Parts: sequence; C-alpha cells; structure tokens
Amino acid sequence: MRFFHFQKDKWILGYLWNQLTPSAREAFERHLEGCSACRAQLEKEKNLESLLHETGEYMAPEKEGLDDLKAKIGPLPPYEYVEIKEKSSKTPLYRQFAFQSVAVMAVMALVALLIWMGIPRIEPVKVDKLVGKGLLITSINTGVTKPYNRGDRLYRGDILRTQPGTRAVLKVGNLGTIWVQQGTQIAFLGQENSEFSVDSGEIWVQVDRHGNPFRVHTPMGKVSVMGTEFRILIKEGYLTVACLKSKVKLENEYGNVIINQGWKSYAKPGMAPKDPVKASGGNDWRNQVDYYGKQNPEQQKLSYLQLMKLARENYSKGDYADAWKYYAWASVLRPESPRVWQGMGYSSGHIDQIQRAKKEFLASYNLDSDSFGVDWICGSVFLDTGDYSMAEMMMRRMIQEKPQYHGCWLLVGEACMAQGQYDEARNCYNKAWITGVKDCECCYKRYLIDMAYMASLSGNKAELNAYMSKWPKDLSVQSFNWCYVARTYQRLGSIQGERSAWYKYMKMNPQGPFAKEARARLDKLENM
Amino acid sequence: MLSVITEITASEREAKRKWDGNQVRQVLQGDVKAFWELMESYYPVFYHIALGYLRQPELAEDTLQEGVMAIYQGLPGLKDPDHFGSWAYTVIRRKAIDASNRARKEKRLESQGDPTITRALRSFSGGNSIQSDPVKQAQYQQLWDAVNRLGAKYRDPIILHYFHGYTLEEIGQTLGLTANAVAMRLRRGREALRQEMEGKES
Repeated sequence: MRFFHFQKDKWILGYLWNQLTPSAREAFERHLEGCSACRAQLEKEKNLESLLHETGEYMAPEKEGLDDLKAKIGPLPPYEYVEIKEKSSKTPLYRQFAFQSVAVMAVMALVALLIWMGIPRIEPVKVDKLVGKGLLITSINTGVTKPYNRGDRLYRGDILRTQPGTRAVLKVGNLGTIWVQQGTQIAFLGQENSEFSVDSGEIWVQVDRHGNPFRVHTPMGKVSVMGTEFRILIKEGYLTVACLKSKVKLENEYGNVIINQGWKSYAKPGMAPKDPVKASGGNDWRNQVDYYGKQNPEQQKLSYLQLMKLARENYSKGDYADAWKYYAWASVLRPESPRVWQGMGYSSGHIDQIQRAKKEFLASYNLDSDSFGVDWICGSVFLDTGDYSMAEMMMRRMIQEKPQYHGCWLLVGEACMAQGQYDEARNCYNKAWITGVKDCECCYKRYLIDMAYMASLSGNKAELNAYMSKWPKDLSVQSFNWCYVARTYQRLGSIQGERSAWYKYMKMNPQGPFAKEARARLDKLENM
Repeated sequence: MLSVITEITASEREAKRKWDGNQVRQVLQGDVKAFWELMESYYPVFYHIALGYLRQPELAEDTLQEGVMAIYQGLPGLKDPDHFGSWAYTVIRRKAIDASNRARKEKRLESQGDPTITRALRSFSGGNSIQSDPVKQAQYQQLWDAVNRLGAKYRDPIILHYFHGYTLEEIGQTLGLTANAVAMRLRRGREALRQEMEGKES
C-alpha cells in the first residue's frame, strides 16, 4: 500500500486509532522514519488526544449532581411486573419460507439477466475521467452547447469539445477508450458509436474489443483500425496517425497506407498519405489525465496544493528542474492559474531554458497582467529572447515598486541599449551605479560588460580599457551579455576573445536573436 | 467525583451492555434502586450531552430531570434492553434540543459559549494530580469551551469518544452512522479544536 502525503491527516489519525490495516500501518511507519513533518504532526495529534481525555476527566460532574436530581424527582413509583417484548425464539412463518422465496427470486433474476445479456444494444459513450472544467457538449437534438457536468448522458451525434486546459478520457461502451487532448473536437457516429469524426486536436485510441468497424473520419482522410492502440493528431492542417500496437490503415481519396506498430504517417488535404516513418514519445498528458482524472474536484484541489508546495520547496532549495516538473503537473490541474505559469517560467529561467521560460511568462502575463510579479530573471529572459520592449516595460514596472534596486536600472539600461537608445541607457546605468550595482557581483559583471561595449561604440579607448581591465576572469553572465563581449572583442580585433564569446552565446541560447550573427561571425573567424 | 470511563475494551463494553439489560429488566420488575444504579453510570454522559446543547448548568440540570423521567416512563416500551444506552442518549438529546429551542425563544440562551459552564464545573474539580497544575487547568477549560462551541454534529462524537470512552462503532450505533462517518466527524471536530487552540496560543 502506498502512502500519499496529501492524505496524511487521515493516515495519522488511522494510525492513532489503530484503524490501519497491517500493510498500511507498516507503510506509514516506514514513511514516518523519513518524514519529520509527519512525525511532528503525529506528536501534536497525540498531545491533543491525551489532552481531550484529561479534559473529560477534569470536567466530570460531581456525584452530588445526581443526588440533587434524585431529590428533585422524588420517589419513583415502582413498576408492577412488566413483561418485556423481547425477540421470540419461535421463527415466524414468513421467516420459515424466507429461503425458498429468496431462491425463487434469485432464479428469476438470473433468467432476466441472461435475457438482458442476449439483447444487442448500443453502449453509451461515457466521460470516464476529466481534468479541467472546459468540456463542452453540443447536443445533436437541440443544437445547444453547454458545459459537461458529471453524470450527463451523451447521445450519438453529440459533439464534444475540450477547451484549453481540459483533457478527458471517454469510454466507448465496451469497444475501447479514447483519451482526448485539450483543444479537440470529436463527434460520435455510426451504429455502435464505433465511428467518430475528429476535426481538430489530438486523441489516443485504445480498442478493447476486436471485430468491430472502428473508424475515425478527419478532414484529411479516414483512419480504419486494424490494431488496438493508435494516436491521431490534427495540427496546422496536417493529420498525423501513429500506431502503437498492431496496424492502422490511413486512407483518403488519393491513396492509402498501412501503418505498422511503432510507425506514423502524415496526410493533408489534396495529398495522398505519406509513407510511414518511425514514431516516438508524446504520451505524458495521457498519464496525467489518467492519474488526476480519477480524482474528484476536492482531491484534485488537494493534489494541486501538494504539487505547488513541492514545487516551492524544490525552488527554494535551488532544485529548479524538479520545481519545474511539479509546476508543470500542477498546470495540468489548474491551467488557469497565473502563479503556476510564473513558477514554471522562473524555474525554466534558472536552468537556461530561455525560450520555454518566455512562453511560460507570457502565459502567466496574459492570464493576469495586473498581479504578474516581475524580477530580474523574468526581465533577463525577455532580453535573451530579443523582446526588449517587453523587458523594458516589465522592469520599469518593477522600478516603481523597488526604485532602490540596482538590478531594475541595470536591466532597463540593457533594454534601452539593445533598442539603440544609448542616452537613456547611460542614464539608467548611472542610476544603477548610484543604487549600488558595485556591491552585487553578478550585476557588476554585466555592468562592466555593457559599459565597455558602450565605450567601444563611442570610440573612447581610455574608458574601454578602464572597464575591460576590471572584467573578472569568470564572466558567467546572461547570453545577450556574451553578445556584447563578442562585439567588444570584435572592435578590438581580438579573434580569440570574440570566438570564445560567440561560442558561449551559442551554447547558452542557440535560438536567440543574435544566433544568426553568431553563426556568421564564427564561420568568418574559422576562415581567418 | 463520579468515575468517567476512558479506556474500555470491547469485551468490557459488551459486559456493560448486558449489565444495562439486566438492570432494565429488574426495574421493570419493580426494583427502583436498579434504575438509580443505571442512572449513576450514565449521568456524566447525559450531563455533558445536555450541557453541550444548553451551555448553562442549571438549564442542563432541569433538562436532565425531564429526560430521566421520560426514560423511566419509556422503559416498558424499550424493545431491546441491551441497547438501553443508545436509546437513552436519544431521549436526552431530544429533550436537550427541545429545551434549547425553548430557551432560545425566551432569549435565555446566548449565542456564544457561556463562561458559567466553566465556572460551574470548575467548582466540582477535586484534588488529583492533573488538576493541581494551573497551566493544565487553563488548558482543560480552554479545550472544554472550544468543544462546547462546536456544532452538535462534531461535539457529540467528541464527548462520547474522548470524555466517555465510547468506541467508533458504539458511537455509530448510538448516532445511526457508520464507524467511518464517525471517524470523519471526529477528525473534522479535532481539526476545528486544534485550529482554535493554536489560534489562541498564537
């Protein structure tokens, strides 16, 4: 038996009240050895337990209370012999024939069951698991679109749409299971719900029962199932079909292909399906919806809180990769929460996943721009990805909150310099100097690099030498700073320094805004 | 001071039930003394339950008077004398609810806990080792007041389980719930108590 931390209250009390099964007790004791938080809570619960017992004893009423009561009530008239109507030992008539009547009813129920099983019928499509609240159903009968509520019945021809952040698992009678990714539109057709159409999005299909014509219609072609497990993705006008077990046939009016296990094929309108190629990966969201879809909303909330706590703990320990992982799982449960995306952005920023971090920051900013918290990582990510106006806007917002923080002024200066506003940049660098940039090792490195670059642009050699002489040996800075280092060396004609700086830039940010320039310069330097 | 049952095993409980049954049978054969022996064993539970609803010792005592009379008069209709405990609890609870409704109409009952509960019970305290520690005493009184501020849904299981040693199954039988449901109520009740106690300490 596994112990889940979000259920710890239940386990701790179960342990105290001796209500755990032996295996659960053993699992919990094993967990207790390594978890100081649970040990502390157990101790607290034990204290409360004994305090409650003692309170009951302390607050017990005095015996005189009962004597007073006796006195108030006075002498009670004794009963003359009263016969108690206790249960008779003789079995009543209806009980004597109970067994026979139950047996007759059981036989009748069995016959009815056999008849019922023999009748062919259409199994309804059911929503088995759901993560998120945005599952919309357009009724075939009324044409009305409404959000799905647990227990709603789905009819043949109804259209299901998953909005961003919502994923679902559908049970198609006893034919199989369909995992529906966010942003997917699917409708069920055919006699046994075994045919359905997908207009957009992604689904995974697992066929449990064979011998049924399981077919998927898409705008780019028809997928006939000869196998048991396959994935369909419709994105940017392309249909991708990957087969995970057995075989799948993909056909349209221009041709057809058979896709074997472990292969995938593409199709687009007006074109025959492509020859299959090797397929791999892509089922993370399926595991997530399987895991969290089982939980009710209350449990999902607890899981979310647990994940956020773990993410914050890992983040504060400096384990940013794990923190990102927990935030990402939390984003499955609450895609609408800006805090989750912001946490992902900061974690990605720390592990140099710059492009990913930018997407996550933007997602958070778009969800709630007012409460979007800014710090220098966020600003650096936008600078690294070449979004200077956004970086400047955010850092100026931070200046309003923390005007005495040198990091804000430094980043605004860098954003202004990148946009060619050198006077404004110089002003900001001055402010950074006044607010104490010199005292911060990492910011001071950036300051020296930027100032040297500005000096090299203005041709002030004395100033350039003064700043460069202060450069530390270990220049570990953001990628765009490496660009300025490279450009400064370029102006000075130092091939070695320039090459090394561009290499650093390409290693840190191969998709950055200066990557093209870096590649061109490196090619040129190789030939020199 | 009347003894409060705290640590009782299942077999002892079974024996107690049988004893209850025998006492009831004796009462119905004219033995009034047996009734008062029965009441002596149940008086602390009844008193705590009534006090939980009414919050004022004098009202609780009046209600107990009515309740005990109703129990005595209702004994001939009791189908299973071995289950006297849960039946009597129901009688007392109903009487307490009626009295509390009456008192509320007459505006005699304050919405918040009445300090007189603590005061009245404090006067009963004897001289054992737990009670001689003033810090402990303050803790007991604070906890007692917190228990009385809980709703009946959580208060009754806590009183029965912690103050009178009923098992979860017995409380379930008494309140008409499953043992799991009782465990859930106890858990939530404890959570509320813990929050209140920690809030006061901080």
